[in-house]
Amino acid sequence: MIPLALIEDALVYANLLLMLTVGFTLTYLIAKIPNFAHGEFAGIGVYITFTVAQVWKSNPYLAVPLAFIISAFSGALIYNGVLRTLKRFGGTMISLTISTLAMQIMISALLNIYADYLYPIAGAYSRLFLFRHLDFEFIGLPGVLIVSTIFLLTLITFLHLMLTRTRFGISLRAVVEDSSLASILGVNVELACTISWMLTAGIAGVAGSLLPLWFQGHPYTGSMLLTSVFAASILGGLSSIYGAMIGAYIIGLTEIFGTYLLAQTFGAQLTAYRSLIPLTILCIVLLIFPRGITGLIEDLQARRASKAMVKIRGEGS
Amino acid sequence: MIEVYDLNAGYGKLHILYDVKLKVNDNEIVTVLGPNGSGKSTLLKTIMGLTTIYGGKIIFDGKDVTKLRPDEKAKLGLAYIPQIGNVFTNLTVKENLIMAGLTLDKSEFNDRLEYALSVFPFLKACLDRKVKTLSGGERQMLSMAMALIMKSKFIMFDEPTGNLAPKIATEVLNKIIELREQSKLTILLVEQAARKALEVSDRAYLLVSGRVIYEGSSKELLEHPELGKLYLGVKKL
Ligand SMILES: Nc1ncnc2c1ncn2[C@@H]1O[C@H](COP(=O)(O)OP(=O)(O)OP(=O)(O)O)[C@@H](O)[C@H]1O
Ligand SMILES: [Mg+2]
Repeated sequence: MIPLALIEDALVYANLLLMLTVGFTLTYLIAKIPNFAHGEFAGIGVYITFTVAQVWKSNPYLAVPLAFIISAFSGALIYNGVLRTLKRFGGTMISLTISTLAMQIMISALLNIYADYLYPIAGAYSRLFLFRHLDFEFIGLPGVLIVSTIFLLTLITFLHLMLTRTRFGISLRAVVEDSSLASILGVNVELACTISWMLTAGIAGVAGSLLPLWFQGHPYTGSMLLTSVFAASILGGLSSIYGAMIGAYIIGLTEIFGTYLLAQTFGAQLTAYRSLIPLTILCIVLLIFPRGITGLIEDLQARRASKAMVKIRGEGS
Repeated sequence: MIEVYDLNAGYGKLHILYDVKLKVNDNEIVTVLGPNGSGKSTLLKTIMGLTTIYGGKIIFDGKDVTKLRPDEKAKLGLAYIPQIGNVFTNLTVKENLIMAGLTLDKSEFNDRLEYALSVFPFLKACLDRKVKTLSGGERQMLSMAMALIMKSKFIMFDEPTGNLAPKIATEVLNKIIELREQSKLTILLVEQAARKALEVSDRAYLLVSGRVIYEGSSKELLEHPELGKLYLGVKKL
């Protein structure tokens, strides 16, 4: 029998991972570089919740909009301050990618400093904390599960409608395919990139701000999440946000249930090696179907289309 | 309409265009000819702002636009239809047409969309199809339809008849002449089918190794004894 708390663990984790993965994939598609600092936007969210709940003694959900705004602002700052500057000096994709790694290290260090700075002010341990006791409950379900699910469904609907129905969304997809053609047609590519960085960083901030309501928050939350975000994006195929959603759910659920099963079988010390699960899936995907779930679906569609063609030709002759 | 002075440009450090001078007057059709790799496409890209400019000036409608971004030029009314990759294959036909009308307001867009669809009626049946399922020629026609929608005063076509059957190629060139007459557009054309292009254009430039080696009326170039034979494959009339 699977304990209920474990199912809740898995669902909350998968929800948060999905928010992060969709954003990671979207920035990858638009800016063409993997953003190693993406997890740190969640780290910022984690400490905003700590500030709101522990320092200001307010409702932790107040942190959600704050985290969105501050993370979005950080995203815009990194994109315009670091990446665009490097690009102007002729930075290659590799140097840009490494600069996001540098940003990851820097934000993580800043979060450590902030945590130490808060320690005397908050009068509580700021390097490892959990706010489950501050969350509400509704029909027996934890508030964070309900809130994250609602946020997620809204997010998916919003992104889908934006990308298919609005001029801005269509322009974004155009930039993804061919940014110079998009610019010829009047799209300000840098502005589109900035807005997408703000949006995805903001979403990551929201995920981070919800996290301490169910899992322990610490200065390294962001970097620890990054492994799973990577695995989920690559499993999804890195080419569509819908693939990213499926990838995130698969990784999220396997990571939680897998760790539980391994710990049951081989002993609790195995939980320390939790990241092995996403890493193993990552390796398998890269070896066997490097285009991920999206690639598998595309192949399937292509096969079906060619079968249909053969059938039409057969009937014709 | 557009004046280019002593333009030196290329890709990064790769210098392609040397001291190019070019002028297209209002409502004129000008053709740029030259062998493969001579820098014709690079010239159009440079005018649109997609390459590295080392020196020179580009004046559009009396305004210095040398340093503007492509999207800013698009908003001023400069349009460019690239030789390859002129449609978004992962978007639907309708979405491509929307992209072409990005700088227009809603009602103007709807009018032009209706016009473009009346010129290329086959597009009506596949508005919701992904462009990657269209044939090369169909894509070329879609890009012409996009050109009809764009809000432009000056439009540059890079080999618009490239993949088309001869009959449709003639049709496309006729469409371009029509554009000039009906919408009062100014047109810069790069063509492989030199003969046909010269027949529809007023003046021509011959570009070899990134330099303009000849400039004059299309008729003169067609009848030029050496250049015609050397670079255009034009038989003597
Ligand atoms: N994106 C690019 N990066 C680097 N070099 C390029 C690029 N595009 C073209 N070139 C080089 O610039 C030169 C001119 O190319 P361009 O495309 O302007 O020729 P073209 O006259 O249009 O030829 P064609 O008739 O074959 O279309 C060529 O030597 C080509 O190799
Ligand atoms: Mg060319």
